[in-house]
Amino acid sequence: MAKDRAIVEDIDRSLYDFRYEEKEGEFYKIKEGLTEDIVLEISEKKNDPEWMRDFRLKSLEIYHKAEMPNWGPDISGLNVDNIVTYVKPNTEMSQTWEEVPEDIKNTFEKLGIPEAERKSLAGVGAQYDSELVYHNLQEEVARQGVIYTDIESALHGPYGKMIEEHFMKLVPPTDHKFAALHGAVWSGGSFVYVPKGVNVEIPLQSYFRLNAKGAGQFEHTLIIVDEGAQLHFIEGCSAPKYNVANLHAGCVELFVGKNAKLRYSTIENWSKNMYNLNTKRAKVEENGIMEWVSGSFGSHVSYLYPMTILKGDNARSQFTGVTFAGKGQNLDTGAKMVHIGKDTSSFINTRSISKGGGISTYRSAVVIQNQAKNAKSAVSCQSLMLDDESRSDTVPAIDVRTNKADVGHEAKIGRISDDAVFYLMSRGISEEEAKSLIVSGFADSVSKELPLEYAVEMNNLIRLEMVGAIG
Amino acid sequence: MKENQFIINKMPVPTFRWLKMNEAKLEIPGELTAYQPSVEGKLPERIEKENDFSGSMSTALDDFFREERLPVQSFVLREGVESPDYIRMHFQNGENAVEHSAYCFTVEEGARLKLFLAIESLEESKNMAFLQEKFLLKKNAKLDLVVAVKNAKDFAHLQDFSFVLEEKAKLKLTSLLLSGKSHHISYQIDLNGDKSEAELHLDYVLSQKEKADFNLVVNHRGKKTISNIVADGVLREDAVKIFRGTIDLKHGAKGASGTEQENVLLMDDSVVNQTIPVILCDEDDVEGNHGASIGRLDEESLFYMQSRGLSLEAAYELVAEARMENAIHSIMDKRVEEYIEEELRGMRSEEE
Repeated sequence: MAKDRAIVEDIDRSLYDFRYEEKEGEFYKIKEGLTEDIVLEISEKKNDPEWMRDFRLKSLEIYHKAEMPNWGPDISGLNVDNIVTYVKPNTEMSQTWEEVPEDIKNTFEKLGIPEAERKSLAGVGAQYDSELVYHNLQEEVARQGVIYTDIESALHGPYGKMIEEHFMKLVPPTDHKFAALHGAVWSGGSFVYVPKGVNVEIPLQSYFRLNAKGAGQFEHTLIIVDEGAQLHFIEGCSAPKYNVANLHAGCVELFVGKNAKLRYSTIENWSKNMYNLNTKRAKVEENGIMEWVSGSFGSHVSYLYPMTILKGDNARSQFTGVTFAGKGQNLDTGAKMVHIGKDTSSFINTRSISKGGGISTYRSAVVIQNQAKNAKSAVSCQSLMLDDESRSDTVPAIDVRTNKADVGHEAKIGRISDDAVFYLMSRGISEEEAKSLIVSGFADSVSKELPLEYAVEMNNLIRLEMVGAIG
Repeated sequence: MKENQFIINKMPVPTFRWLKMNEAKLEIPGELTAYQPSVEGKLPERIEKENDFSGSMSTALDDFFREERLPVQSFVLREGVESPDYIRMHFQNGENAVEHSAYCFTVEEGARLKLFLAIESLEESKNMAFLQEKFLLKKNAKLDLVVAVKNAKDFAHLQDFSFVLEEKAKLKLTSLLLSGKSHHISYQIDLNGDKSEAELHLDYVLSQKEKADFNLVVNHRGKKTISNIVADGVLREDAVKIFRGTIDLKHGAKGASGTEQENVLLMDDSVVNQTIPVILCDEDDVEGNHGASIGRLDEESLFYMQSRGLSLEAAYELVAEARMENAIHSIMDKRVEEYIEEELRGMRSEEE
């Protein structure tokens, strides 16, 4: 049988690439670059409490001292001195879509956010550039004591102390250079608190849109799910494409209490000029459950490895991820699991697809500390190469420090099997269809975990059209 | 960094710094002395070559050795010649602070070299030995290489081996670590010729505070090249092991297949096991597989053995023993197997 190669169409990005040109007076933009004056200006604009202003300055100091990563994709095209770290739309945060300025509202309408809220979400936050422009929570959920608001408001409210106690405690600015950058210039993002025993049955969602050219988005998401509570949080990101580098260095900190459960779903679909250097981390207490569902489709370069610290006994975590790297993309994704508590368990299940010269790297770390007796961990990562211009690497690290642990790992890299295509063709399916079916099936175990609310967006992202074959 | 300190065993593709797994550090503690092992059997023809040896462990270390003007001996096994039995090179290092030996072997077209490196140290020696070997396997050449290391508990040992395989050449490497304070192992295999193949069995039993640091890199360049790596290990007491294993499927290596399986049995609670199995893939018509199983015995095997009257401890000992036996029996040479069993492991063969 001829070794034909399947052609998989590029993802249709027209849905995301529309943009509104910013007009003078509609936005407040800070000077590009990173200096103490700029950080102080952001702090003043945001009316930070004193501790936060000091925290920003300390982070800036750490940023200047920290080294760039000596591993991972090339980020030499990113010059932070050219990045505008703060862009504020000339509007205050609204609680109804009607109050949101027309241009911004149209953007989110096109992305289907208000519609999704009406249909299936308990609350929505929408961030445009550096600031939240919309935040709303269903009354019923609010009555249960659930807090879902922007971090800046929460800082000055009754939860200010709670934020001070948790803010960048899981991801300290010393963690890496871009965590320090985040600490210095963070803006926007959400604060969620789910009180003890409350089960938020329908998901909350934040959507981040970076519209400004050459800008950075540094939103901070802080979620605390208290003892016995449950939450599903969805995060979506997109940006139109420009010819200059944009930077996303957000930070997500998740605290999962005793017997609590949190599912955090993300669809990253940044444009292909974006450097996505995001940091996500969760700490899980006794019997707690942390589930990550992650789809990485966009951006020029991604460094994304959500970390779970299984601190409490019997804490569990699962990471399910799919990465699709097309032309001009270098997506370095994966997960980290750190087992500390006894009887903890983790499972990492990923699929990556590379085509058209795209580079996809699966990178992970599973660490079983000595006190994590009876810990169990399993990793399964599979990569599919759709042509011979692309690249796919697997770099998993395992560190086990007790004999009372079971760790399994399996990795596979390959192309579409000729046997499988032949089998399907012998059942009367055309070659094109057969290949299409195999690619869809390959990503299926992961994509079925993605939230339904993203159906429209997901269809654009994972529907892989097979249009022909070449020799 | 001081003059006698080196970064060695660097991964071809580094990862998170906080794991501290990307590389190892080495300090050469004393003066270097050239060491000559005893040989049983007839080595291939000796040829004179310029000392341009470059290994796989560290280029800075290569420069250091060159400056020290340490001798490199070169041999060639002529076209079509097959060594009937294993040639045994017996290393008994330990007299001097740091002993160094370096060899280059060329196995010409259709020839087959069988080489057994029996590495021991003098009892009670606290010194260090460094062994560098380079093998060039021409078209259809074969190399059967067995390396067994049994060193004193305070003895440090380094192996820096590289292999270049031309068309249809075959390498079978069995490497056994039985004892010693520390082992730094660097194996680089370049499957340059089409249909060249490498089969590797790496086995180790580490106990007390013994440490093993592996860096294995297999580069697939030729079409339809095959690598098959099995690493089986047993860690006891405070033993520490790091295994970096990279299968690099280069662009153009159509039809290549690289497989790596690592099994580590952890016997005690204070062991440290670090593993980083990397697959790099720059070609679509290839297969890369990796599997790892680390930790305790699976419950089914344990239940089976316990139901046959074995205690938990005896079951673990039996499996640990079986892992090493597997590798030894895969050598397929009675004399070498017996030598390892009797002389190095102090065990009698079944026939006796």
